[in-house]
Amino acid sequence: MIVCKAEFWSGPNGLLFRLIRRPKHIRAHVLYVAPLFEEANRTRHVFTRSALAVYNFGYQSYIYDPIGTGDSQGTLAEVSLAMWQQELLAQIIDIKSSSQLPIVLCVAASGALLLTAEIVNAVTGMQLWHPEFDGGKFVRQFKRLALAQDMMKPEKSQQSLTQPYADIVGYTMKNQLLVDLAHQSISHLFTNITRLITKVVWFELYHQQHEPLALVRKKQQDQFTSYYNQLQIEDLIDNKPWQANELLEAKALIVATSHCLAELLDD
Amino acid sequence: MNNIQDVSVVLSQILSQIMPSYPAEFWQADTALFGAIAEFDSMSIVNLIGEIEDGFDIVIADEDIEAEHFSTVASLAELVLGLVQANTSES
Repeated sequence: MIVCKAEFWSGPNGLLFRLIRRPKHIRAHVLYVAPLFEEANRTRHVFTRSALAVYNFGYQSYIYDPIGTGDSQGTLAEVSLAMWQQELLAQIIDIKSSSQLPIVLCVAASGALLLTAEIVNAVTGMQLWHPEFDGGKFVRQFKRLALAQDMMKPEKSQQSLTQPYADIVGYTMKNQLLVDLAHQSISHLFTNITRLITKVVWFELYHQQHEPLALVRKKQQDQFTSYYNQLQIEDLIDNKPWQANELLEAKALIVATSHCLAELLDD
Repeated sequence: MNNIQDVSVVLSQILSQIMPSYPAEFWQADTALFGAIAEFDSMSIVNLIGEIEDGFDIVIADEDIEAEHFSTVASLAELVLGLVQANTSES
């Protein structure tokens, strides 16, 4: 039987709700980093499936709600990007303080915008699930949620970056959070990394076979590779994790993730 | 890609990927989208915009995120074709 423990972990900015699955013989740790906002809830199901799949290899898994979201302490309106980055790093340091075993991050989509040089080089491996490193594009898309919702309403909502807070599809947050996220990019991530010591696998998801890689995705991959030529890119035909559900599974991604995590233990 | 039929075909493929619960043949030029399909919510619209931008290498302006452009596959194809042609003439 799989042992799953729910806890409130005392992070640098408040209590984080975490689900920890701890096998009897732990061989490594995997920490799941969710995408931001709406996609976070939709990805939870795939994180759970992946955590269950790697449990038998001896991976202790951590799935958490960032501060100000889900069941963790605080509200989104109080959150800054730095707080989310601090708590991610703090969890890695906390695991390291009591274990010498490898630590791997599984980062989904816009969760990549939380990565810093310090975080990346603190872990043994990193699996990127169709990552979004273009903060500007992400924020543009997020704001479009409000525009798309306005299409359904007779009156348009007014949003301005000069106001301290933004209200987008029910999420109230500091405008500064969006400004900071918009500044995130691959070049920004690698600014302070002189040597990447982390093994990185990039899973690019396609809807169907022979689908061409979109130009904007290729640019991101090329840019990452220009900083880190050991990048392993794996193309998968599968549903995006945030579009998957009980009926629409992301099976190929879960299998590939498990395979790579198992390989890491053999290295 | 410079005609409305070709753009409609690609849009139908994208819609089929975003909303796979509908059979591929459901997506035709005259298929009504906004206000007609329950799953066509704000998240789907934004996903669709993202896929269109990536696939056609265009940018859809905020002003163009209007119900009239998203009413049918054909109306969306007209918007996309206009942006593709504007892109081509610029480069």
